[in-house]
Amino acid sequence: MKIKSLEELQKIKEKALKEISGRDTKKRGRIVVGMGTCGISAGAKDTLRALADELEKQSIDDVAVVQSGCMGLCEVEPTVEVQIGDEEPVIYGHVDEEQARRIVKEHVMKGHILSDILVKRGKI
Amino acid sequence: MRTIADHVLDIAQNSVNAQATYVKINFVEDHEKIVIKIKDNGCGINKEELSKIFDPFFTTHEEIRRVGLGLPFLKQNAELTGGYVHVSSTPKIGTVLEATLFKTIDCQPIGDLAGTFAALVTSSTGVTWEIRRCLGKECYDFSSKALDGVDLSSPKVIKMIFEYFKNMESSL
Ligand SMILES: Nc1ncnc2c1ncn2[C@@H]1O[C@H](COP(=O)(O)OP(=O)(O)OP(=O)(O)O)[C@@H](O)[C@H]1O
Ligand SMILES: [Mg+2]
Repeated sequence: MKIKSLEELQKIKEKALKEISGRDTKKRGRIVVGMGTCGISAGAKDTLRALADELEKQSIDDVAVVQSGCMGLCEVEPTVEVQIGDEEPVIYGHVDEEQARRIVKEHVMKGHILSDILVKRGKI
Repeated sequence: MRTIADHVLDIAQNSVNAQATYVKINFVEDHEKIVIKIKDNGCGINKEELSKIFDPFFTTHEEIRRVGLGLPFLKQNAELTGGYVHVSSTPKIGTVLEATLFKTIDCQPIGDLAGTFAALVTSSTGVTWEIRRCLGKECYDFSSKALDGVDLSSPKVIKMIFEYFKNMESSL
């Protein structure tokens, strides 16, 4: 086993735990990425990576990024559900890397709903 | 599924869907073949169902909108290379999947394995993941035990884990 692999993990853990210590960890929203078979085939992994990357770049740490199974919207995968505060959830479709970054910059940061990739409002 | 990495992500999610709390993935590659082994402690598969798991559209998860194409796709792609997929399972104990793909002209590209591992590890908090990845003689090991207590839904953490696996892959 590579020693480095463990060391690096330890570093991630330390950094992550330092982040949350002494801070309010309540989240103001969450983003759900559909990672079922259809989503994966359509590139949901890259969507997930881009979302995390853009949120981090914008220093947003109070929005959780989670994964779910198939949302049953195979035709429009990758799909992403965004829920901020008590607003009704919004589902976006065909969310590639570029759209993922747009969701962070427009919806999460400014509250603008992106009507061109909107699939649905409210729970599926 | 365009890549082997996509298959691994898809197949390992079967273990999560089977309520596994422990999933071990071995991904061992050499110059002629790729051997994938995924072992879980999920609900397992009974004999009758086991005979159907490679049938397209067989699923026991209809209520959660599954299509039942994960295993048939993998089998088809493995067999195209002269390889195979084998699943053995004991109800209430768990399931072991082993797949061998030969690196023939028909073999799909491996794809973004780092992304697959990162996505799996950050997909749910209830699962302990152990991953062993080898390329030739070089290997690395991952255990999610090392990340106990870390918030896996934090964008920053997700990003670090994506980078971690990317670094590990490029060190091989
Ligand atoms: N690790 C496992 N543990 C228990 N059951 C499994 C496991 N892997 C597969 N199965 C069973 O085999 C069935 C078929 O699996 P497959 O991946 O082909 O389809 P699915 O997961 O149901 O749907 P999809 O992958 O298309 O979303 C599953 O519904 C499940 O009953
Ligand atoms: Mg499946």
